[in-house]
Amino acid sequence: MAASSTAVVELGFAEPPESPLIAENFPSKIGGRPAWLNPEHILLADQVRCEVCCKPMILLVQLYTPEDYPPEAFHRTIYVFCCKNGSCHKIAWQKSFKVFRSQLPKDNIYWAENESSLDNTTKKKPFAKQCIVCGLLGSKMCGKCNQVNYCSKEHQIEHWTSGQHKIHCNTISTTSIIEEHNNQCRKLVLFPEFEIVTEQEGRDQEEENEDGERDGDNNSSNSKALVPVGDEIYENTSVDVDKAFLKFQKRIEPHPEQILRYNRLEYESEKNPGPLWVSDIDKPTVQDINPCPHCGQERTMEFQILSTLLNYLEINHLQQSSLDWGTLLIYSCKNNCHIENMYYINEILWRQNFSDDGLKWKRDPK
Amino acid sequence: MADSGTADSRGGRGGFGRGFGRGGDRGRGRGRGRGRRGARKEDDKEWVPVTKLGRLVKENKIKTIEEIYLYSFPIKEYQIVDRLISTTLKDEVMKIMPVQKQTRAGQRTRFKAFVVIGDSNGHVGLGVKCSKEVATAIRGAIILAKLSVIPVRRGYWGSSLGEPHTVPCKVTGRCGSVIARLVPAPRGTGIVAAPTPKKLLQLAGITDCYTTSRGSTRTLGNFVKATFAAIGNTYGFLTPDLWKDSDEIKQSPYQEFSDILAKAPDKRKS
Repeated sequence: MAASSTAVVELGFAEPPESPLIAENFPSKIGGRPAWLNPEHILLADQVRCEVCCKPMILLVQLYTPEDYPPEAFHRTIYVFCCKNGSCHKIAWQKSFKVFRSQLPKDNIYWAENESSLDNTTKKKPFAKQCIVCGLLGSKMCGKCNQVNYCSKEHQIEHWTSGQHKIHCNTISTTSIIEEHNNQCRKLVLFPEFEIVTEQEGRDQEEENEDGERDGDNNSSNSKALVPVGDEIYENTSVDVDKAFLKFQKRIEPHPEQILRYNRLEYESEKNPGPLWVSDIDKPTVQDINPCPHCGQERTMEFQILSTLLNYLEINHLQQSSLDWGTLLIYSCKNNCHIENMYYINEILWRQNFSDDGLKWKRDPK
Repeated sequence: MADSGTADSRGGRGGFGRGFGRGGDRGRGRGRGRGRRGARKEDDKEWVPVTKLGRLVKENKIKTIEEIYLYSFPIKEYQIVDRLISTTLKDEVMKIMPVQKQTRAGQRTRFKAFVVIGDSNGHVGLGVKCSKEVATAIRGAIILAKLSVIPVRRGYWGSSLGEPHTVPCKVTGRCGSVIARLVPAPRGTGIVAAPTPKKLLQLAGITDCYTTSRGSTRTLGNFVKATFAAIGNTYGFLTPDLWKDSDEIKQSPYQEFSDILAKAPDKRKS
């Protein structure tokens, strides 16, 4: 039953959340605030800053991807952060994305193993304070009321204005109104929140190999009767078509709403399918994908995010420099190396854009 | 080579979401599968755009295909053309040509389809696709034809009275050995051409035209591509009535700053 020789991909789709996307449920989600796997040690704003505009980045995708090996990776989450400002991506896209891997063993002090044996003491572990706007570590605090935490000055300003904190600071207001204003503020700063649901990609029914020139297969039944007339036999009119893009489109076609493709479903890397490229340009070379600096093992492609996700992120596409990509490939350490006291390990993201070619007819010189 | 000591597949724990394999001892909250809202059936109907241009077209921020031509954006999704000029587009299969390749075990035949698409009002496209089955070839050729839709400039033969009806000037296109030449014709002439380019010119919306061709016009592929190139050249020709617009094209920087460049280098910094 399990996938053996045919390479299968698990697809991800975005749907409105059915149950609340809190950390206890180990969600896989898009946008919103991160649901931290390790709630005591969470990321600082300084670790998640866009290196172009120096503002803190926001959560793009969070995936819960548990592993069998090593045992410290029983719970495992990958966080992808990106800068909301599209012009930062135009200048230097590598500085506008950050990927983190966080893992927990099966026996951990934060989450009980099964729901029935909820120990009261586990709940009282020191959960870190989160920034009220974006969910990163709230190291700073509102100076006046000392009750609200922020990760950075930018979010403090944002909460003061659009989160209406200047009205609520040091006053007693109903929690529902405060929540409403907080949500308003978060809507401006963060991406809209969705849950990621999965489905396996169905096997291709008809393997049309139009470009492959494989010998052996011949339709001998009626081919002999169709002998072409005239001098048209060996004519070869070729057209400059973006073949990679057409192949990509054809692969996406059965499930056009997919936003994510998860490839690494087997421990043996040969059995995992390669990434689905969207063009012939911008492919990463071996130098671009460094091996893991902690354990020295190579990094393999784990999953890729497609550009169809941009439909859900409520971006104003009319802007000259709005957020855009062809596909985002996430490469992570093959062995899920576990380092003591290092709760978040950086992984690599590679962006591939669509090519700028349309359909080109070869124009003969006059 | 293989990590055979550990589980031979990521089995019940690998991947994300529901995953596959045994239940039981897995992390909590493994996610869910797709909703049962008949999700599978709705997949075929709705177009989910992939490129930025597609997203803009789907949100109706771009109303006509001329806006795309103005900035020379590459059209990668055929649904864009569908959305913008779908109502009037008509396609026509020019020819299905079997092509053969010799293999050790006989001949391998594939079918090559030539499809011309147009709205008889200034837009044409040409698609060529080869495939093992005829239907697949035609479908693929229609998609390629939609991707290659090009605007056609029409003009007058004599007095500019009424709607434009013919090519604005003599244009020529060539492909392989075939040269196709389109010549303006007075109103009422009709299209004076061989059946192959005649279909193409009709779908382009050109009502009157004289044509001349040279070369091996029996090779349909080259003939139709030569005519298509000729039609495409109508907008590539700078006629005198467009001289006024081209004045807005600024001087090249070499000309604009020629006096500064003429100065000696040490005197330039001012």
